[in-house]
Amino acid sequence: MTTSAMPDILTNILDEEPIPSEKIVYLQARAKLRLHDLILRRFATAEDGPDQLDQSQIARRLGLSRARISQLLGVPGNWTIESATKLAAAIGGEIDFGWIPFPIPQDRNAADSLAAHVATGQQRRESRLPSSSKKSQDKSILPL
Amino acid sequence: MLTVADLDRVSTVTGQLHRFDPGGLPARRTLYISEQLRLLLTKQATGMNQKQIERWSVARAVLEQFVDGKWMTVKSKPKSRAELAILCPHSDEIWEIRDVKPRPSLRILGSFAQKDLFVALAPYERSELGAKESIEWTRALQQYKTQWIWLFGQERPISGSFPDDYLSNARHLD
Repeated sequence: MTTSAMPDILTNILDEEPIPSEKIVYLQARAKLRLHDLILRRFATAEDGPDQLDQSQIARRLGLSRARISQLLGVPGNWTIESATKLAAAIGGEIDFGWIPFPIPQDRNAADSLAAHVATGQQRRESRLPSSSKKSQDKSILPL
Repeated sequence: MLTVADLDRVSTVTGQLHRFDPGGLPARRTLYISEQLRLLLTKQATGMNQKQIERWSVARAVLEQFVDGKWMTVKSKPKSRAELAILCPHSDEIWEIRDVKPRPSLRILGSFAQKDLFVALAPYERSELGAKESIEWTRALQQYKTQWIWLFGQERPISGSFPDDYLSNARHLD
């Protein structure tokens, strides 16, 4: 299968200082799009719920026209925390946030896991040594 | 109906089509992009300035949203705002992905090969297209049809009832 070979944007993002502006813009867009997905998903759930929420009801709750609600929900380009919070309130909830750490580069990941493996092996070896030997082991690593 | 295997074969044979695979979670929708679009999304298009690089980074986020299977809005009225729209005449089965903010507004023309399987071929800044039915607009649609035929011959995009035969998690606002 042919792939697009899209380079990953987020791995190594912190290697450049300052972070390139296109990566910041990309992250900002992702945040808005995720928020948009959340609001649309909750709206769909509320439509099928006992209250059978619809656009007119959202409009009444926010004191806006139905057409304006369509505009607001249509695209998240101008969304702010304030406007998204208003939409969430009219749908019947509030927004919470999650934290997604950047991916760790494969080679760095492998190096970390190798280091952990070596450290664990060192501990295991030390636990099998008599106490006097442990001291000599400790001395042997002091210069590091 | 075009299948993923067909699209992969076109990718291999022509080098002008690519599977858009941003990595991470398994894709819930499938997207193929043209070489022209791939170059824009990866900052490799000739003569891109920083503003264009940033702008197409946002477009990349939109396309990833599509592949992730997120809820997306589809245009059901001429004046409504949405992330996806089918262009007139509907029988041509040409869609646009509409990425309107920040300016400049972008359009990516494409078609559905199957439900949730989109082929995005022709990227534009909206201003390049002119008004609907202008010379520029008509020319862009004609070029799109030519590009489609060059890649896929007589195979047609799917047609169906709007929007659920095309896209899952589609929301149209009236």
